[in-house]
Amino acid sequence: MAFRFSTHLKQLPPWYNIRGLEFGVVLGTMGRLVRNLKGEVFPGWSTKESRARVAATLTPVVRSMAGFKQASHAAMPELDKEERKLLLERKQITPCLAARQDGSHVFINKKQDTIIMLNEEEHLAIHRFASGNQLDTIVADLRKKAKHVESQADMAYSKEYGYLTSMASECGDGLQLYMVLHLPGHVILNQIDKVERALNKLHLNISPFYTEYGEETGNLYVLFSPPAPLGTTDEILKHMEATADSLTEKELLLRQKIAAEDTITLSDAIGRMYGTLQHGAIMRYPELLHTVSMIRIATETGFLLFNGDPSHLQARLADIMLISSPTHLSYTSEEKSETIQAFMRMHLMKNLAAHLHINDEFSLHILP
Amino acid sequence: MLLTQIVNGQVSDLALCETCAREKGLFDPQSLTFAEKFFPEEFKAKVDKLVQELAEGKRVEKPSTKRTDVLTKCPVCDFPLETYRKTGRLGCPDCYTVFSRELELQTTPGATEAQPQTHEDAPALSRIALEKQLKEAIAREDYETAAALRDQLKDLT
Repeated sequence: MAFRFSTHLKQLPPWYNIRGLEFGVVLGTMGRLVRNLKGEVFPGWSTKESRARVAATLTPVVRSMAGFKQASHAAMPELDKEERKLLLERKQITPCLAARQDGSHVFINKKQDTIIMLNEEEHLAIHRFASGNQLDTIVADLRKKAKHVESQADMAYSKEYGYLTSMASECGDGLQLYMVLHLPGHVILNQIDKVERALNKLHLNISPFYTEYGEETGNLYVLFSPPAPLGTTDEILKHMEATADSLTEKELLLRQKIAAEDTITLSDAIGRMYGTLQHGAIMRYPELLHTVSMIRIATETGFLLFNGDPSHLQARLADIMLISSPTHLSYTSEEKSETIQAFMRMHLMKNLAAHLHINDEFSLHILP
Repeated sequence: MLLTQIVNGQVSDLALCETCAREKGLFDPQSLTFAEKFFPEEFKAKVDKLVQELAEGKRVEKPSTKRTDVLTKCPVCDFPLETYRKTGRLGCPDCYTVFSRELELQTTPGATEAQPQTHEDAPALSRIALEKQLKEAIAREDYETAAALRDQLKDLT
């Protein structure tokens, strides 16, 4: 029996808080694989009948994939606005699919680490997620899935261009890679522009993860490659991994530099944040994202101590970021009032703060 | 013969007498078919006739400007070339073949803007795609497109 779609939406993706990985800088990775059927019009230009034909051809292919026999499925007209918004917020579907109706479908496996979209921008789009830095695992898995798809259906391919896509500039290997990075050190020391310029030379890009609340919200950024031209995935993978390693090393150095050279300012910021958690009553979502980032810096630099396994703290922070979003709170609790939502958010943070305390050694150390 | 050149966006016109044009190997490319362009030796007689007509001041048949002679849309999915130029999007996998020259120019640095491809010089679509489009063109009574598709099918045999 297939899993109900609404159940998935109310649960947290299990891949999101896998413990024991290095969470310091690279928080998550994602790969996107696209394929189109030969002889069928691309979804953006096709008719309802054509999309239905594509879905009828590809649905058995999806169901025959490992982990997708019992996968949760929804035809897009079955999903209401809130459900689409939630999937979009979690980056599980693309804005293009969120806007689609007849003939478009979404499948989610039980682990919620693989989402398959039919008749999105392309006939078939597979998104594969993992926590931490697991790009090579993702690429290997997507290649396996691509091989399976190609053995089951005739895909549009040209020796000259590679896998054909609706956007002419995106044809090639049909693969694109993303990494979510936590870069407070770079933000505080104004290094993001410099990183952006350096990455452009490698044909990589970096952009803020949250654009709706202001660019630096949560100090989260997305490092991403352009769609891989034919035969370049391995090279891009190598560049992405080398870049992630280099950014991680630099970020940790910048954090140490801030902790060593600007101890008083950092200590003050952390103390104020801690005070808000102790005595505040409500917390808006952008403030929560900033607080989560501060807790990460504070625990990694030793200003705050956590009673327990540090990886449990990272996992809990990741959970809170998801479950306290306005869309998630609205969907799961049906609470629409912004103030009540902000109160519920603060309640979650207070529960976490009960396991955190200020490191007195630091307070004493910075006294004149 | 009036030769118009577009180099780096600069348009220049050059008027040549028939003899000079011939000596320089110039002729009006749009009046020739795909085969004539790529196998000029085999069509020398036609070129000679053209030059002769020019010398005698006879009216030379101008290249047709009818829409059906120009692939401004994909015959498989009707996707307009103009939309590709504006958005970078294509309508179907066959658009890659139909608009291949345009795609090449988009990816070739320094290339000038492409003229729309004619049915004669467009790379062949797959037989199945052509047959499908031919049926559809006949069904919607678009006989001009149907004739062009029929000619492409003939070329495949």
